Amino acid sequence: MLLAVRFVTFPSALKQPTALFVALFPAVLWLRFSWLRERTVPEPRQGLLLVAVIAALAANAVGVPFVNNVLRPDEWLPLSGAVSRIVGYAFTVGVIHEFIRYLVVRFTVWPSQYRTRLDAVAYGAAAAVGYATVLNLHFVLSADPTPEVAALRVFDELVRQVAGGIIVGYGLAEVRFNTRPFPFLLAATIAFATLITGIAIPVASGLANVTLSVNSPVTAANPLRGFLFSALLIVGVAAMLVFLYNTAIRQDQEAAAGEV
Amino acid sequence: MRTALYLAVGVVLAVIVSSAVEGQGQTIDLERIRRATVFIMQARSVSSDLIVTCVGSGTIVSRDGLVLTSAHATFPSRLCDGETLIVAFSVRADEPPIPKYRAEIVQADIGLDLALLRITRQFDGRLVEPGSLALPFVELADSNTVQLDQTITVVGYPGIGHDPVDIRRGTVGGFVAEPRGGDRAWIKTLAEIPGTMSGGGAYNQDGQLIGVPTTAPIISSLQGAACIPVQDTNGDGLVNASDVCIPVGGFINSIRPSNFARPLLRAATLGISVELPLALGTSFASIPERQPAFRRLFFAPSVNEAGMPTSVIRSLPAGATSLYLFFDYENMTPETVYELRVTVDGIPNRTFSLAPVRWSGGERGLWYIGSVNQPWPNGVYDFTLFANGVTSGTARLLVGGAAEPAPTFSDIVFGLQDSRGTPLGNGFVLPTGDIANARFIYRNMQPGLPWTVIWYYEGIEVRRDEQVWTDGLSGAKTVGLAGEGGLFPGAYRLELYIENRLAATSDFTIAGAQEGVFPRVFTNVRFASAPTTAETGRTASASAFPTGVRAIYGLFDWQQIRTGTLWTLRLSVDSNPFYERTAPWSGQESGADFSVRLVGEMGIPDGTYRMELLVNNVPLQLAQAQVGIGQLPIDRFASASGLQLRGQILDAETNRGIPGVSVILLTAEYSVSDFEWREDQLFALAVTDRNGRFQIDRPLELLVPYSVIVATAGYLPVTADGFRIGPETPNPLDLTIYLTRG
Amino acid sequence: MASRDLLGAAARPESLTFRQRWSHYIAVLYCLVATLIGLNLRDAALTATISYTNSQAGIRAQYPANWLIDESGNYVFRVRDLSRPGFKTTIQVATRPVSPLTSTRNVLDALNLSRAQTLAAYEVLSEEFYALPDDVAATAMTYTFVDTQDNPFLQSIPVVVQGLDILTIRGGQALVITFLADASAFDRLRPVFDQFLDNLEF
Repeated sequence: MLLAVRFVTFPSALKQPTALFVALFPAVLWLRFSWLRERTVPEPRQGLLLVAVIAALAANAVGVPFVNNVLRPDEWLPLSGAVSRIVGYAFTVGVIHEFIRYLVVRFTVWPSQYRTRLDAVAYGAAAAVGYATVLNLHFVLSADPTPEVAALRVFDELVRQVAGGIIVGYGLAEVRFNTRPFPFLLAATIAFATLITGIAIPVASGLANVTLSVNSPVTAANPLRGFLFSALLIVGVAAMLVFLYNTAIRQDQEAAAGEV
Repeated sequence: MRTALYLAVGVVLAVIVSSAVEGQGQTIDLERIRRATVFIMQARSVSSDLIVTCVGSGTIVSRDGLVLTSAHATFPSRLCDGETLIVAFSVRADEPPIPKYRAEIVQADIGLDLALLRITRQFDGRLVEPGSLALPFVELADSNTVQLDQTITVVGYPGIGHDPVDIRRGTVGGFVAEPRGGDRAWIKTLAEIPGTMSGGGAYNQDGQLIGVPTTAPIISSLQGAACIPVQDTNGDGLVNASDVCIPVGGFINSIRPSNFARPLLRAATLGISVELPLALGTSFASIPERQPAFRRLFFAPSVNEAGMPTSVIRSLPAGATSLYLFFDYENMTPETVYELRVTVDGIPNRTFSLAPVRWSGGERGLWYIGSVNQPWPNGVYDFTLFANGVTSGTARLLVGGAAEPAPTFSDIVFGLQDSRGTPLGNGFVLPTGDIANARFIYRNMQPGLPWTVIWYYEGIEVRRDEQVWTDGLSGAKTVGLAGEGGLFPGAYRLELYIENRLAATSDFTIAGAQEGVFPRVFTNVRFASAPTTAETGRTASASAFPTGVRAIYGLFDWQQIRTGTLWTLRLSVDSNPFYERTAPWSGQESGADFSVRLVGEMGIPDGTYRMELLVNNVPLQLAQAQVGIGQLPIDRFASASGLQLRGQILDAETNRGIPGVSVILLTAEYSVSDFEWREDQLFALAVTDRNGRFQIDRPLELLVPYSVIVATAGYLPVTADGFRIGPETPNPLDLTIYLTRG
Repeated sequence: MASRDLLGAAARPESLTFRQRWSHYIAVLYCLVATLIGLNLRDAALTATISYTNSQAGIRAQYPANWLIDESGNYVFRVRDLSRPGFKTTIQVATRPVSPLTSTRNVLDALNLSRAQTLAAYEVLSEEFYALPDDVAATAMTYTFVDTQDNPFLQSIPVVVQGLDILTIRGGQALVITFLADASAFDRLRPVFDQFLDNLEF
């Protein structure tokens, strides 16, 4: 899709409808390849769509207004230094997003629908898709970007939300399946997820930002660098969590074998 | 086949090389000149309306809003009777100008047809705070460096407001000499310049202003296309000849050199006003409305340092490069428009003609129009002078052939004779006394040739000697004039005839008491400081004044100056003139403590001030005084050279301009990390408009490492250190910067 | 304690262990504390100040960080928020000489007369008593005008600006503290000026 919007020239009247479609595309993909497929398995996960919808509603009702009107990071964070921006985004945008998604998952499907650890990934991703869709729709409707820029931004946002979703999902899975979980682990995963957000936002936009030069009269932003960073981020987070999940699953199996 | 290929390659290479060479020669910054060229409308209030009475072009010559233009379209006069001046700018190069400001005249020389305006109000009438403007401006060149055949660019508005700025290119076709201005009173051009571009600017290849193209409309010929009605000023529902019309002149071929504007610009920049006592020789006496006239036209090959003809000729030999047309004038005023049309063998010749321009001489006297260092092609030349559109004198001259060995008189000088018969003195201003002597050179004279000496006093013949030549073939001879009871102060003239043909003539002035062989016209010339003008006589002179003194006086005594004698007051600071007035004396013949008051709005700037007094262009006395440290402060905004930086800031996500973005340039001493948000660290600051466009209002210097910060809320700032422009950087430099949201 | 979730509400409630419950409590607590930290960071950034002292004028103040300070004009000092789009929010402190007979009304009239000459659509909205910190009596004058760009080659939309002057006469001089902001954001930005006034010493 990114290639399509990058190399196709859209008439100006179609730009916003195209950008809107781009914002909704991840949700459509998730519905098609995750939720619909879930319907075909013998024991499908219940409440995936519910989690996504409630996460979306919570984002629209609480998340976006609280960040934009109360925290207002746009007013003080872009002009701050690098460390201040990381800390700032972590403790504002990051914590609100993660907190809301955690609450949604906790009070909709946890613990009853957590049958395996991988359920945490599924429900975390569902919440992330719903949440990210609302954020992306807000962006498209308020900023009126070109479809190409919308596609890159949608991807960046989705990556951040999914990364956070599966990190917090790991914490929820630990608390669910470990009868003696470390009490601070869940909070730590939330903190880690907020840190990922705090790092991802300034680094992605900073990589996309321009440098000024007399010899280059047109200093165009390079959003592709932000896109590449987001791609690396999701790969890195996924790899790390695959390791952690596999380790946890193996430990569960060993514990179950030991009991037997 | 191979030959054709070589030929094709050769042609391509030639085109590339020639275009590269052409590109290297093109250094004029037309963009900045275009922006600095304004359209000026003079208007009059009628009820709640503004009626446009005159229009013209102008050029911004200082950052804070001084505009140089022609006086005839801005200074209130019979032809242009408005009291409001509106300045319009071309916001876009291809669009007509848009009114933006109002201006007032701060300096003007009606005779030179130059005026300096200062932008003082917004178009809606609000005051403009002093120092708040940062307008594009041009620098004045030294117009004495302009060469014949040099390429010049003329910029101005060709219409009466509906056209964008126009650019015309041409060459310097010659120079016109006049008593006021010497050999370069006018720069002539062969470029086709419409009269409505009057008041604009002519530029050299470096983009510096070399002069103001100007032509003055003639009242008597204001009909049809020469005067255009554009408003229904009489409220009859029609726009026709019954309404007020805007006069437009004919073609322009004359450019008033920029060196004439320097004193005006300097005076305006210094903020000094000069006050003279009203009753004492400060302006032209009011004269009844009589038709201006020119008489006694004759030709001379050259002029001396007093502006007098060296000799009188009837023809010019082939290859001559210098010629002056002399004539007497009377009933002239600074509003009189005069014109010279020259034909060669019956064909109009624009090179030697002078398009209608304002009169810069006195009310009556002797004047000349000439040219030097310019070849005169052979032919029969007819010279016709016009005053206010009316023919007022003609003369004919033959150019060509060998120089005639005819008897000639030349090089008349005046003075008091010594024992060897040599006139001593300054040559053209003599003290009052019993006798005046004149010495002249004679050549090719024959014994027995009849010759005549005629002396005039104030235009009336007082003595005539008809004689027969008895001296040798060539040499020097002295003649004298004596008066019973002495020679009175005033204007004198000597004419020498050979066989009833005018052979030489010259004017001189008698004024002042005698001090040796020199006239003592002005004495006790000094500077002083006093609380009021009335107390200046009791104040001791001073050669130094403290910084910030608000007013100082130039004082002098005078002896025996007859009413009507032309005298000149010239004031300069650090050897640069900022005031010069030549006017007929209209006070008492003798007196003391003539005071000239110099007032500075914000105090008189530091500098070394000089007051010079002249009679008939002969310097007689001067005084000098120092204010403060004795040197003018350096104006860091005086230079227009450098690179103009501008551009557009866009949102990287929407590609739309971002309004209100601050573009900050730091001085070379500070980097971005050193920036502490202090204004004294800034070199320049600009804010984008609604389209995201910005302009840095100060030119950037070559090879200076600036630091740049582009910042606004909601976006990541863009910063750069070492932002350095080089010789190859395009000027203006247009940047497009995309900001990323934070 | 039984756990509760939407989909598990109808199912048999499961008991959470002590650690499981406290994991959630700590997570919630962390999020609330982190939010408070975020609010504090916001406040600290938005209300960060820099000290200013002018011993000649006898003024000490704390002005907002990252605002451009300028002492070169006809005022003691002026600070502007250059990062603000549109009209750059301004705080200015100026002094004017007065005589023993000069009243605040005289000073305000002089201000109004000179501003009316240079500011478009200048209009005074109100003049009322104002109490500065330490119960210093002052007069507050509110006014509006339209701000236009000075550059004739740019196309800027004029902005309506609201201004507030706090004027007090003390020690033989009139102290005029001015706050200018985009009229649409004046009330929202007013706390910045209030904080400035609270820290102003003269």
